[in-house]
Amino acid sequence: MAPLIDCVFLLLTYFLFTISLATVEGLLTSKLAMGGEMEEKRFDLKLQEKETIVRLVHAGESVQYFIDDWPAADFAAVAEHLKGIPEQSLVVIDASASIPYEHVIRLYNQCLRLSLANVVFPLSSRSGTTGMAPRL
Amino acid sequence: MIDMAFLLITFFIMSIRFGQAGEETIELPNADQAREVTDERVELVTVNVSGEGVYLVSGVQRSRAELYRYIEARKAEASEHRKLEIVVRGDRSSRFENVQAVMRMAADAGVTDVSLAALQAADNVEQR
Repeated sequence: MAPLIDCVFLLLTYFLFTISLATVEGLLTSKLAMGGEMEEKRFDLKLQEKETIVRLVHAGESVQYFIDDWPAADFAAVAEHLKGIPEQSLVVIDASASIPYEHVIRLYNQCLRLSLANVVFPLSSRSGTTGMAPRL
Repeated sequence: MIDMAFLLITFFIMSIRFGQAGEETIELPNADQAREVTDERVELVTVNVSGEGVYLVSGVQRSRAELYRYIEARKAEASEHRKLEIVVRGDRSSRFENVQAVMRMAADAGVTDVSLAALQAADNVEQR
């Protein structure tokens, strides 16, 4: 009986260690807004609030952020700026092609954390201007 | 005592999540705002984007042109009652253009619902 209980405890220890490392996968849901619909949204929002464009470009090994063409020191500075934006504002995340995806997700996640519902990614598509925004 | 141990092992075995083929190669970014979405009225198409920009759908590697045709075909098959949603499982190190290309394909195919998969954890971009 002793070897059996040893095996059982070994298995139990294995599962306990692995379960603590497992992270649940979730989705950042969003809705693509097509051509005219997107332009309408932009127009409506422009009447209420100015849109904020956050640009991500490569600067050597690191990522340089620009808020409305003004350089931001780091991600914390961008997050601080976003805190002051009204929830109805349009945030445009304009990341250059070579930016690692995780930086874009981090920024998108930060917008959702601050309840900024109107986030778009400029996409140049065959059907015209498209963007995406969190599904409300 | 051994009964309790077996009970615990059974619980752990039952709670293991079995992934799709190819998923293990994708290291997802972290996002604490990511939510689990379970809507039976939605038909999900999961597109895995590896760090090297390789597209994998149900374990099958596809080029951009093949992926676009696949999304178009799935969109055509989707019924009015079950709308199509694209889930992009992008590797954290993948170039953004690879994910952006999937969004563009979805837009061109007329699919408006695109979700981005992430691990429900605090971001760790700085620590890497």
